[in-house]
Amino acid sequence: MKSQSRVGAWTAMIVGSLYFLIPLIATVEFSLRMRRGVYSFDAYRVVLSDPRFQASFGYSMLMAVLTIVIGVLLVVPTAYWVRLRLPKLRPVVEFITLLPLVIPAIVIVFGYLRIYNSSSILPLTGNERATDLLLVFGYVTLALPYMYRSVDAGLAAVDVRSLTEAAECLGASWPTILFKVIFPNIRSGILSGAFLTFAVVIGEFTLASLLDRPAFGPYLQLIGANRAYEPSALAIIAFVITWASMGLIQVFGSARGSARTLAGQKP
Amino acid sequence: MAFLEIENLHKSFGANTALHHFDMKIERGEFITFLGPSGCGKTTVLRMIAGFESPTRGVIRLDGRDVTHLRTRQRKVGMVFQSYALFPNMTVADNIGFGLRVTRRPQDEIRKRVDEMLELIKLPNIAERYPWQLSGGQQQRVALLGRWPASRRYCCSTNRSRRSTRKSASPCGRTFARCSASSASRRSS
Repeated sequence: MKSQSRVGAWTAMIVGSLYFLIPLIATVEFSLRMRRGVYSFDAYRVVLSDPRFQASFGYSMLMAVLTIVIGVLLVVPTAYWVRLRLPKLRPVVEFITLLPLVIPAIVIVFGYLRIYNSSSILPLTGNERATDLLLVFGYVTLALPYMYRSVDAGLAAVDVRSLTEAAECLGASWPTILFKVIFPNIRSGILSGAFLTFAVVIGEFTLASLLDRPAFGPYLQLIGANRAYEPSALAIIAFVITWASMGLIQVFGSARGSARTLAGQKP
Repeated sequence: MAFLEIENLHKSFGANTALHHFDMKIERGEFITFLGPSGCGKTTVLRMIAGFESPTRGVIRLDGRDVTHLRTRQRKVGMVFQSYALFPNMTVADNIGFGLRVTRRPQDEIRKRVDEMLELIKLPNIAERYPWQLSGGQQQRVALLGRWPASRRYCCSTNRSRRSTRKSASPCGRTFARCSASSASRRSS
């Protein structure tokens, strides 16, 4: 009976792994075949030395960093305040933060174009810097579900109320409480939110393309439509970046986890 | 006049009355213990003295001044929490010095004061440890010190001893007494 269930589990594991691994291996294999007859990294060399790759990737990195900063400054105080003072509003706030998963990005961007077009009161699409700003705000919205969930999980792991009250009765002001007590104690939550945001922003196509900004997503699409081997190489590069982000979450998450296990051992 | 005066204090949470007509006078330097069944309002009184809850009715006077509607951080009342509420991201020294740091005292004064404090509880070698590296009793004593910086005037503790033997309850009381003796001498000097 027991061995039978184990056979079932292994079969599921193997089928699942093959489902994910075969296309990936095929992509890697194809990306190495740019030079006829031998395997080479030519496709990667072409991609990495393309100035448009460097420019668009750099641009998307910058946008990602801005998105993370604005997102953290927006989400952490909100989630903190909801936990501390407005626990009844939590389901409502959670629902709102989930909306970007339900409403497609294309709806958001058409909304932006209607509201902020060059003949509106706030013509944010009128010049490039303002459009960048609009793009960052759009990214913050798209990353909201991931950021909020990570931060909220971080807040759940510490006794927010006692720490706040302890700091308060020692005379700390609200900014001091937030930046000296709350932020450092939910660092791992903020970091995982930040890496997820990074992954979302790097691969995003819809917003950047329709706002006509030179981001990595549209570049990926352009190469995909016009080249043979480079898109595979780009896809692998994008995968590696995502995996690196997830690996970093694991590293920071487990560092925090081991500290807590030690704390748990002490009576 | 008494140092802390509480007059006709009432507190209700919705339809529940947590505290009904409470009066108390405490002189400077007195050591008071609240004893009572759970739910009788001990913690509620302490939380109102510290300013975390506002009373439904009644007056709290501290050193002759009406503090009933004053905010927590302006009252300068130290509080030790049942869960200790040590800041997990800070070392013992930083925990004890936190109150002095937020009031922007000079660095060397903070260091001197923290050393004094650790000397007082006879644990001078734990300054660089983090709260999770301490034993339960050490955490308790650090929590008590951390809420007792020079500027505090009063300290309340919601720290019910869970192991209600005299042996475990007494170190906390002794630390408390030593701390108050030290602050008293500080005031007179």
